[in-house]
Amino acid sequence: MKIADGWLLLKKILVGIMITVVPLVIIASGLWSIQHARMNRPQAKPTSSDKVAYAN
Amino acid sequence: MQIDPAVRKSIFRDVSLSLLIYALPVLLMYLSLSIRGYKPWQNPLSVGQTWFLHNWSNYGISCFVLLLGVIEFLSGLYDRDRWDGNEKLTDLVCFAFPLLVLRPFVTYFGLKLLPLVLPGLKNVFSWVPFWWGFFIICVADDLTQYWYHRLHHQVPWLWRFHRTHHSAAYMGMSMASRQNAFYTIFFSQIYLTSALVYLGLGPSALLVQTIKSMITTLAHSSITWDKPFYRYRVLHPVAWVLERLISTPATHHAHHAATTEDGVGYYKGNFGNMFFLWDVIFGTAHISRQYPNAYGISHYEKDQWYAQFLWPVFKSKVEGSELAADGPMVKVDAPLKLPAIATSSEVPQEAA
Repeated sequence: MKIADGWLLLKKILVGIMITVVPLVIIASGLWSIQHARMNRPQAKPTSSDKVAYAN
Repeated sequence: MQIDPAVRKSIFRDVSLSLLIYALPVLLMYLSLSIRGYKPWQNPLSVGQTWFLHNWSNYGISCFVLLLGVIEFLSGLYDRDRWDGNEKLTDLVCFAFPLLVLRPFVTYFGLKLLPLVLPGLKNVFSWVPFWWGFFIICVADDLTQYWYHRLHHQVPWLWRFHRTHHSAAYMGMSMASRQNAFYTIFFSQIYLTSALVYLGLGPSALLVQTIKSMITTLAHSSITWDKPFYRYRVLHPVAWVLERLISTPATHHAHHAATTEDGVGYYKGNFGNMFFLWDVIFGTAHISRQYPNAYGISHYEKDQWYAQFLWPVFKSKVEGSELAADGPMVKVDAPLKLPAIATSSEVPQEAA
């Protein structure tokens, strides 16, 4: 195995990392955005029918 | 050796489109959840279902491959002329390597390395509904494998890492996992799916892997399960959808053909693994509903098994081979004399 072969392997690994990381970032950032949109969504206010009347 | 300018242009165009396709399931999930309102998100898989998928993925697929291999052996696929000692060793070493080395390595990657690379993110997306997770991983895993595969065909300096898979002069279980070790160990989609499992999409990933293994195994098999769909007119609409959606023996065998000159073989395309849809979308599809008469590489002269398995660490001793120390990066196809292909009256021909 020569230095040129090592360089070839390194280039191949870099290509592999790129086509792994790019989709991962797209998907993870998309899911993270949905999660945050969901967490920051204001809670629905209780309606008058939700109130419970207690008998004294 | 440079990439053909037209190919380079198509790669850039299709990569741009792929970025949108990767985001599509997430966008659709967001729209669906917004329209339906924010309800409690539960994982519908029971413990029993998860147990079944896990065990099927671990042991069931291996048994399925062995069973198909036995059927192929009994039907005479592995004769001594075609499957000599060197070919046997190449196939067996490549079959054992993922089981003995890759699986433990990927397990280590998932359990030990990912918590270091993505600290505190374990199961952070476990709220994703099961079927949306399934859709996300189907696209992520298979589209990534499509690109990994396509680049190894279209980028000249990557070709020799994938050549071993194409040097087999036959289709069957013995050659399904026949790959150079560096091609196998750097399979991008394995690490992408492992990361998504770590982030919480584990149960969905199990189902995707189960279905994917079945489709890709059957696409490499010499058992042409898709033939009845082309033969009987009533099944043609099903065939039309099937051959565009998933990899079938006809389309994947064409990818392994020794020549493209007969109108059946098409090793310059049909890169899809589980889904053939990627080839249809990106214009790399060729559908003929026929099977090639010769498989492999036209100029293959049986490079030693260790060179095929561990190139560039070990080089081939076959003079002029692409895997030889001073061999060409990509060798020009040798002309082949092929027997006649089945006529179109037997199997309808259709080009995509």
